[in-house]
Amino acid sequence: VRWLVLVGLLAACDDEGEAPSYLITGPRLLAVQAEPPAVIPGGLVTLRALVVDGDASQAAPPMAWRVCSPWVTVRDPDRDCVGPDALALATAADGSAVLDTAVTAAYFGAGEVPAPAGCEAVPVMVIATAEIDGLRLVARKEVRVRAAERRNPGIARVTLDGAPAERFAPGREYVLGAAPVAELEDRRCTGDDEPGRPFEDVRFHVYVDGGELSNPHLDVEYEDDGTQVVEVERYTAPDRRAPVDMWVVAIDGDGGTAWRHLVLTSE
Amino acid sequence: MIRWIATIAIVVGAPAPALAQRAERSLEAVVVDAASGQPVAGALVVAGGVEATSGGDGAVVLAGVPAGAVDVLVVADGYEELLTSGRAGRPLRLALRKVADGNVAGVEVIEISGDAPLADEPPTYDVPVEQVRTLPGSGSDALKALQSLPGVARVPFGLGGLVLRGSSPRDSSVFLDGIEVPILYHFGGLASFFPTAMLDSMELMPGSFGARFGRAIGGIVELRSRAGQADRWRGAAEMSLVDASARAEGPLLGGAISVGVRRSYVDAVLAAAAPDLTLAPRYLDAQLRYDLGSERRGRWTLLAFASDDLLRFVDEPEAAGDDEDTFRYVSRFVRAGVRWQRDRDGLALSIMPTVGYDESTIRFDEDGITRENLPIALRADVKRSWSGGYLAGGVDGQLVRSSFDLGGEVGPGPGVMGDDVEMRRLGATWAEDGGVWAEGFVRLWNGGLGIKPGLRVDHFGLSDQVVADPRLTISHELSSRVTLTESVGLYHQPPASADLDPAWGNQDLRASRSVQTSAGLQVAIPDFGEASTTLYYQALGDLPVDAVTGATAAADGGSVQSGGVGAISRELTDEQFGSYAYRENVGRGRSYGLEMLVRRRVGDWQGWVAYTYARAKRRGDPRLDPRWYPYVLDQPHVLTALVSARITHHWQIGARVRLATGNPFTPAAGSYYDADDQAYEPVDGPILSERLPDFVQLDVRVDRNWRRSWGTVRLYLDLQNATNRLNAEGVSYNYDYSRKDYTRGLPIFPSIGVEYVP
Repeated sequence: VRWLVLVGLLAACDDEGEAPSYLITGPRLLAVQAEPPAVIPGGLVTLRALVVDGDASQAAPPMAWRVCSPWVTVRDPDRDCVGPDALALATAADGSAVLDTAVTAAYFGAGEVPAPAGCEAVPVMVIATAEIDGLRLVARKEVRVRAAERRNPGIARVTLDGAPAERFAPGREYVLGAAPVAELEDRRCTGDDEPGRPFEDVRFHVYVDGGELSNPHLDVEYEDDGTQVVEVERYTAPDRRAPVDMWVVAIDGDGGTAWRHLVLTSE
Repeated sequence: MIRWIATIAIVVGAPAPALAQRAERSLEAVVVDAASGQPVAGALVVAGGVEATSGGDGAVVLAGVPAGAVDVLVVADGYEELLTSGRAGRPLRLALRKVADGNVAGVEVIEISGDAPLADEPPTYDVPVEQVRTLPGSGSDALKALQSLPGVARVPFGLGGLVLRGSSPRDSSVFLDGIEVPILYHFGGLASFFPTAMLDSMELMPGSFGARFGRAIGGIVELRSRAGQADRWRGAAEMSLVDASARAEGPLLGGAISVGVRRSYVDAVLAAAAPDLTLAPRYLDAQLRYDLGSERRGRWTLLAFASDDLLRFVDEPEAAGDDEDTFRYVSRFVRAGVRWQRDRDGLALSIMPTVGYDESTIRFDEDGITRENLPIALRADVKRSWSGGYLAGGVDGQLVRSSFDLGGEVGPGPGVMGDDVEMRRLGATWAEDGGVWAEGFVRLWNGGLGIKPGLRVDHFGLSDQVVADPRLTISHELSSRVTLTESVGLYHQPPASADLDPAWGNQDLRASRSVQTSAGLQVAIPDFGEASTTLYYQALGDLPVDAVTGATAAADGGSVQSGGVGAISRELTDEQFGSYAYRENVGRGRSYGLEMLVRRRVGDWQGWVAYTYARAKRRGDPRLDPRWYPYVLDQPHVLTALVSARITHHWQIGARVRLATGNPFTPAAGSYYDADDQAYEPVDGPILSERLPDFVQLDVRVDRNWRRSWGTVRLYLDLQNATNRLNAEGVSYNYDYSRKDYTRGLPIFPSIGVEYVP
């Protein structure tokens, strides 16, 4: 472990010059949303994907969806989630798909698996594939089957220096903030259903096609007494006049996902 | 008196049957001052009925000595007599101690020194301590010089850890005067725990060691400390870019004491260079040895040594309310023991109880682990000369209390994520290991054939297991200069206490074992030195390997199958911190290879070329994957060429070149996106199928001596990686694994130091 720390420091030096993960320079499959993210046994889940590229603000490429066998550990989707170990889902015109947990359980012979109780969840692995500009993008999403449904979070606002993120001055550094939609927040599952228990933490992942971020994500966390702790980061706008595309993806503790696309114009 | 002793030695050491072969046998030696390493001229050397006097360079040749091992007696004015053993065709280094005023012995023979007879051992490797001081690339550190010897794999970043004949670092043991040393090097491999100036000798046995040592399935390094000189008080000091040390020795209460202390000051330098980050890495060590009495009448030796490493990062809070992130790494140990030994009338006795304390801590804020060990050990040996050979036996055992304090957001087991699970575990175990061993050495055919059978029986407390390890070494003297030695033996090693953790370890874990075989040829080259080559094969069984694995890709690093820096780091720290994995004794390994060494030991230039062809393979849990893969430190080719030359009376220069095959790693063949973690996951390519580029490094060194009446001052510049070559030590990828880059090794690293020797 001690060497890992030292080696990590050395390796960090090697990363200079490498494009950071938050910088969108080409087609990316950025997020997958399951609605709802946690579903009761036999329920339906609608799956959507966020695909972006480096030029247009958002793309809508052909999507393909499949569910993986619960009996196989998925290390490589193209090896472990194919053939009889995969169940293809029909893709709608808007690129979404519907996962029927009852059909899935029957297909993989998981009908005898006991229904989860309390806060327990049975993970169902979904693979999303998109083709864009000859590039194949693959993402994995975990849908949870549990005793009670959960909700996706919402993004109430994204701010630069406290104001709505709409405009930027080239080269200027801003304090970047984000907040969840309070009405959409679920309380943490603790098994005792106490009404006063804190909400789930939400992490906001930020992607841009220009500028620099001090950290690619910021957290909104809740103490045990319910106190909200909001983290902010710094965003340095690019030295250009062209608009900046910014995508914010919110993930909560149950895999709930939401995203928001903003176009920042220069002052 | 001198002549009287010499006459007795001539009579005793002249067996009649060997006379016919005398004309073709000679014994070469160099007589040096043990303290300064300088040659001693005019010393009378007597062996096997032949005597000769050393020349100005300390060299002496005794032509016509009998076959087999012979007693060697060295007598010189101003020095204590030296009685040791030698063999024709094997160059000897005879280190003499100056006569002490009112010295501890006060009798004829005080200390046995010089090279031990090798006929009863498979080929081993040593580096004369005084030579280490001018060895390029080792920074005057004797133990770092071990890594230039055959059979030793290169460890990335110059980190510590001995990988001997493809065995894991945890499978080899290091002993100092019979006391097992838990950690050989200070953090980062900057320096070893014991200063070179206080060492008398060191010997590397990469495999096939005798029954005297147990509880290891790899190799052994045996270090011997140097007794202080009792004639008068003297002090010495050394200062380099990294650390400073001081030592003193002299008479005390009728005996001789030597003490030393060393401290690094990297912390102060780096703190000044990076004021925003409080960075405090530092190490210190201390040594004490006190000798009273003589070996003939019974000598008491008190030995204590300690090592303390601390690495600490404190990220200062930028504003009120920000958390203060701290990282703390502590590695410290202390050992103390008292040895009584006597060597008289062919009977040598030694008994040594020791106690110690270890602490290993690594914490981020309060999360992390602290492990403490409290070992109490006893070693007792007896050796009796018998019919040209000897009988030996002994017992050694230890009682260790191991405790740990583990806390933080960690998973309950390998492959299971913590998911914000805060946990804390405390525990302690007692483990007792004991062994009894016996071995004998007989010479047949006028000493041309030596046979050494041995047997060791151990009880391992943690696994409640009794194991018996028979070992056999046979030596043939093919000619006066050529010896062939074969060895075969069984070796066992108890499980690590961390692997038996009641929460996620396996309490049914048992000992691992190895069968080691080797055949070595040693050739003495007159007026030059020696050459040796060894073939070896080792089969390892019952290795503890992870029996539960998570879904983490091997290409992501950190697992055994990942290879690269992550897997090697795990190998290096496994014994100290434990892996806290569920393991079963289902692993197997095999290693084989060829070691070659050509060494020049005489003249103004000395050095060696060491080449090792070594293959080491492992098989993990066959239920998960029955295939064999290269060991993470499998390096088929390792070549070290080293030369050090005295160009004038004051100047000495040296260079070392090292070449080693790159370590294996598992490449990433692609990636996919984990939408829940918002991060890419690698897709494995073939397991451990690629290798890092070959390692090549040049080290150079320049020494300048000033000899004055009040002592000697030595200034040195040791330039490691003199060409500033950016060797690859690991693999890193960009965020989506589409581009690969190498983690580079250390750049050019100068080590400048000045040493004062009285």
